Amino acid sequence: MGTSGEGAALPAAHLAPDAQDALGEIVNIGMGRAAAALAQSLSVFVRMSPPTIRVVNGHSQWDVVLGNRWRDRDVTVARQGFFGDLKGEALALFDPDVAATMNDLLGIRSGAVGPEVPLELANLLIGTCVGGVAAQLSQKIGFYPPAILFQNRELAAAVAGLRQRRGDIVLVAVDFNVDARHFLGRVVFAFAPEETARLERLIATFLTEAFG
Amino acid sequence: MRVLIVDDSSTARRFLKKALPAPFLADVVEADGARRGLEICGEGGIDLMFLDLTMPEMDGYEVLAALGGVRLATLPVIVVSGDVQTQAPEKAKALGARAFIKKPASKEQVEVVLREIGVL
Repeated sequence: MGTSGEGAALPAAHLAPDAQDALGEIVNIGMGRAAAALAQSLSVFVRMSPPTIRVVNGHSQWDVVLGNRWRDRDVTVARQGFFGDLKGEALALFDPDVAATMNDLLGIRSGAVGPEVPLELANLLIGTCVGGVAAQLSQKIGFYPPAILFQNRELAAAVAGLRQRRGDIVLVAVDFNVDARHFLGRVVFAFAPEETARLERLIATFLTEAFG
Repeated sequence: MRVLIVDDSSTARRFLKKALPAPFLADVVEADGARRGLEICGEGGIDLMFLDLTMPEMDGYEVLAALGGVRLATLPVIVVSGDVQTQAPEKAKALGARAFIKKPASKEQVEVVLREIGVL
């Protein structure tokens, strides 16, 4: 999401309002499974927002990724790509104290906190959610290992130096938090312009199979 | 019987209408958000509500809390949600929901629940 491709002009992405609504519902179900996986792992209750879906130019993608809540805050961001019948990449944004909160929830008493916790969380949330989306669309996907994009940095400043993807992309964002804790996160996944037409066809097929 | 479906997603509302038994389709009212759902409830005449949990501005838990125990004693509310945490049905029922259906709702699930709560 932070890097760009070079080459010929890419087609403008388009996702009709009906398709956006359907994608939102599909993501909602996928994220519900991810929240359940997190809740089961931590023995907590997880609240999540409805998905926000935007078709944006790559130059403004970070405005959607950040949202007002995240723009001026220190965050840890993990990135994970997915491949196969659906291709894209996802970001998981976490409060900087996510690792300490997780250790507390899990009863771990260790001093130094490395990137393992946000990486594991990203893997769980992105894998379950995007996997759930792909399953509903009858698609098979795999995942690249997650990687930390940056850790405990102000997000707006951190992304300012990143190159932007060219062309229009479909962005989907869901916020979540652990009930009664200051543990906030956001999962954003992006479908590149060359994937958007395929995504729209898959959604059309999904709707046709559901409603005829 | 007048049925109210409260869900911000038109796709979800379509899924639910598809799953409803024929007698319940005669008089269906839709609300695309929690506040609109509460407004319609306030106007009266609703006999059964299907309620999503994850909605913008105001979620389904807040709708249940806003309706309150007195209203929920006479208005059966069935929560329909993609939230499959084990605590979600418990929380919803503690707030007065009669039943919980996991999305996407199937005809079979809906029929079972409607029989369980005694409206079918």
